[in-house]
Amino acid sequence: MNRREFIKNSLLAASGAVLLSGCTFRTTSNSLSSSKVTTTKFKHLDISMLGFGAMRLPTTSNGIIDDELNKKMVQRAIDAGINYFDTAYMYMRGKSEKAMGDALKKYDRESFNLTTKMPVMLLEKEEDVERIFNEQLQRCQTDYFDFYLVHCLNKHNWENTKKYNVIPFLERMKKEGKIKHLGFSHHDTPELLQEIIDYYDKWEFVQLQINRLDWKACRGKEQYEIARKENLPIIVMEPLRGSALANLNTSATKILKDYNPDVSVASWAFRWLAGLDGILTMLSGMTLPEHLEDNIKTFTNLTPLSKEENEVYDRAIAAHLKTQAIGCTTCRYCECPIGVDIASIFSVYNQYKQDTTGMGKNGFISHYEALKESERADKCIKCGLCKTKCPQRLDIPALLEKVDKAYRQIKGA
Amino acid sequence: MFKNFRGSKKPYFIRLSLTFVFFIIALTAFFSHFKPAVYIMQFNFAPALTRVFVDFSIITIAIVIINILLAFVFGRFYCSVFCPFGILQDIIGSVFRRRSGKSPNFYYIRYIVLAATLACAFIGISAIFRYLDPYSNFGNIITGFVHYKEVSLYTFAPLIILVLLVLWKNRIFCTTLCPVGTFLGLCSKYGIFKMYISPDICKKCGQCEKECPAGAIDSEKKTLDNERCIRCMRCVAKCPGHGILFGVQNTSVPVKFEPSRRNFITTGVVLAVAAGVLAKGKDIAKTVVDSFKNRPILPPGAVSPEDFAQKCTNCGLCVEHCKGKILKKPDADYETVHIDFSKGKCEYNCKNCSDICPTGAIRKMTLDEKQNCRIGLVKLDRDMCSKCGLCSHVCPKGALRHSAGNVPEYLAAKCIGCGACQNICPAQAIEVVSIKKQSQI
Repeated sequence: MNRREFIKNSLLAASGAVLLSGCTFRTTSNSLSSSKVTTTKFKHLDISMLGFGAMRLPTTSNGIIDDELNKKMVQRAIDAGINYFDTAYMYMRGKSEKAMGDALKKYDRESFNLTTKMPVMLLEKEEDVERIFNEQLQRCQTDYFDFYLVHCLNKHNWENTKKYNVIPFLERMKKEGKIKHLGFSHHDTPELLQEIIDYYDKWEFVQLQINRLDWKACRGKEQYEIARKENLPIIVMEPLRGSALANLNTSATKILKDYNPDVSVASWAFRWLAGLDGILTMLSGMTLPEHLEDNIKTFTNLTPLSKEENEVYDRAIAAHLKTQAIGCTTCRYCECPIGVDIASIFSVYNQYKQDTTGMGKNGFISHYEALKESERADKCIKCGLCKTKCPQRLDIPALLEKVDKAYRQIKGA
Repeated sequence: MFKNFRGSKKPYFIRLSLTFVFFIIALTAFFSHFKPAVYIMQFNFAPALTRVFVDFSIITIAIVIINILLAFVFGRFYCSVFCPFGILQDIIGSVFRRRSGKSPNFYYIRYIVLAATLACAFIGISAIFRYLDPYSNFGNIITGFVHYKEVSLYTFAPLIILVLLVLWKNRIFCTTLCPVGTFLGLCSKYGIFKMYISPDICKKCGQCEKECPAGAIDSEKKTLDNERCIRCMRCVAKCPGHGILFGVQNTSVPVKFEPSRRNFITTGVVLAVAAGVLAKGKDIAKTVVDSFKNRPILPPGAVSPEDFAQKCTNCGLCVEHCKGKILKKPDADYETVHIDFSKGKCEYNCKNCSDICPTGAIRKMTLDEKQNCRIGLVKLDRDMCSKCGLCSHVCPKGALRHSAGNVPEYLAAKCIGCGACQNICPAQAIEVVSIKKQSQI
C-alpha cells in the first residue's frame, strides 16, 4: 500500500465513521423525544405519573451516594418527562436531600416539582420544626418546596405533630410561599387516617402505601377508599413494596413471563395501580439506570391491566404469597441502635424463601455471611426500639430470631 | 574573662519559676479535682484550635487569638513557660545534662507537618494531633504512668521517642515536629519584640550556641533565629557580655529573603500535603475507625465512634476526672478512650468529662442533656437472671420494672445505658452494649 492509498483509505474510513455515528446519534435522539411519560392534572400542574423517589439512590460500593450516576439518572428522568422528585430528611441516612439538591440545581426551578417531608419522629422540641425546615431548604438549595409532607404519620408521630405545632408552622410557610402544596404520608390504620383528615381540612393530597400485596393484607384498600371519599389526590409510595413486586418468586414470575415475555415483572405492579382512579403519581426509588429505563418504558403511554391480564396477575400474586416470608419494605426507618442491619437481613431471607435468586440454601448462607458479623441477627438484644418505628409494624426482634435460627439450622445441617 | 562571666541571670530565673508554677498547675489539673487548674489547661493552643472547629465558642476563639497575639508580640514564651510537653523535655534534658549546640533547620519538615495538621483541624480531625500535639502527648504520657497496668504498650512509644529526640538534639521536637511550635514560631518570626545578638558586644565565644536547646543561634554569623527561639532565656544568662538583647530589633540586620527553587518546591510540597489531607482525611479517619476490633462504649457527648476518633486527642484528662472511674485509656481492645462498666457505673449527676474535655471531643452538655443522653443499651440474659429486682431499684431512669418472681421488664426507650444495673446485678445477667450513635431519649 503506498502513501496515496493509505491516505485515501483512512479518509474513507473516517467519513464512514462520521456517517455511522451520525446515524446512531439521530436514532437515539428520536427515541428520546418520543418517549415522554404519561402525566395527570393536579390543579394547574401536569404531574408525571412516575415520580422519582430518592429513598434508594444509587450508591458506590462503600455505601456512599454515587452522585455522578445520580445526576445522570436525574438528567435521563427529566428528558423522559419526569417532573416529580420526592426526597425526605431521613432518606439515605440524611444524605438524600443534599444529593437531590445537587442534581437538580442546574435545571429551571419551575420545570420540576420538588417534594420533601417533615421528620416528625425526630422532633424533640418545638424549635426543631423550624430548624429542620430551614436546613431542608439549604440542603435542597431551593427557596420553596412544591409539595411538602408531614412524614410517616402513625400514632406516635401524629402525637408529635400535634404536640410540636407542626401544622400551624407549615401553614405559615405556605403563606410565605415556601410550601406550595401540603399533605402527609400515612403508615397506620384507616381509622387514624380518617382522624388525621378530619383534624385539618386543608390537606391537599395524601401519600399512601398502595400496592397489590398490601391491598388486603395491610388494609390498603380501606385507606384508598377513605382518600377517594374525601376527594384527596393520592400519591402512591412503595408501589413495588420495596422491590418485592419486582422480584416475585419463581413460580409467579413464570406465570407472568409465560403470558408476556417482553415486559418486566415490575411493570405489572405499576399497570395494576394505573387501574385505580385518583392517583396523582407513583413514587419509585430507582437504584439502577435499568430500573429507570424499565419504568420509563412502562409509564410511556401507561395503560391499566386488561381484564384478562388482571386475572393473570391475581394468579401470579397468589402463587407468590404462598412463599411470602417477611413483609419488610427496606425503608430502613428501624435504624437499629446496635447496628443490626435489619433490612438487609430480611431481604436476604426473603430472597431465599422466595427463591428469587435460584441459589437455594447455599445462596442464603453466602449472602447472609456477606453481612458484617457485627450487623447480623444474633447481635439483636431485643430492646424493641425498632418495633415502634416500623411502618409495617413487624415484630422485628422475633423475626430476627427466626432468621438467626434458620441460619443456624442450615449451617448446622 | 572571668569578671564578665556572671551574666544577668534574672530573666532566666523568672522564666524558670514561671515554668515551675505552670508545670505544677498542669499536674494539678490532671491529678486533682481542682477545677481552676483545669480551666488554665484549656489555654493550650492545639486543643483550643480543634475546639474552634468542633464546637465554636467565643472563649475558644479568644484563647486562640490571645495565644497568637502573645507570640506575635513577645515570641514563643508559650513553649518554654506554659507548654507542659516542653517543660517535660526540659526536665528530661536536665536529667541527662544535655547541651545541644548547632542543629539543622528542618524547615521543610515543620511546614509540611503544620500544613497537614491545620488541614486536619479544618475538617475536624484530630488524628494527627494525637501524635504531634504537645499537650495531648503530655497528658497521654503522664496518665499512662498512673494507669500503667491497663494501657497498651504503645502508650509509652511517644515517651521513648521523645527521650531519644531530647538525647539527640534537646528541643528538636519543638523546632521540627511540633505544629503548635511551628505556628507560634511563624508569628514570632514576623513579630514585634525579638531576641537578637548585639553585634558590637558579641565576641563569638560560642557559649550561647552551646546552651541553646532549640539550636536557634549561630554565633559565627551572630544571628538568632526567632522562629525557632523558644525564649528559654538560657543564652541571656550565659552570655559573658550581656550581649543578647530582647527588644525591637535594630533594622540594620537585614531579614534575608531569597526565593530559590528549593523554597518553591517546599511550598509546593506543603500545599500538596495539605490538599491531600483535606481531600482524603475523612476517609483515612474512617479506615482507622473501621480497623478497630470492637465498638467501644463512649462517654456521654462523644456522639459516635467515628466522631470521637476524629476529635479525641487522647490527653487522658477525662480519665483522671471520671467520678465513677469507668473511663479508661486506650488499651489492647479499644484504641480510643472508652468506658468500662466492669468496676463502676456512669454517675448520674456527674458530667465532669463533658465539662473538662479541652478539644470538644466530648461535647459540652447541660446536666439535663447528659442525663438523657443514651450511650448504650442493656442486654438482659433472661436465663441467668435471678429475678431479685435489684436493677429496678438502682436504675435512675426507671427503665427496668420488676414484679416479684419475674424477670424484670426492660423499657429500652427510657434506658440511657449508664451501667448502674450491670454494676449491681449479682447474677451477671446484665451487660451494657455499645450503640452506633448516641442520642437524646
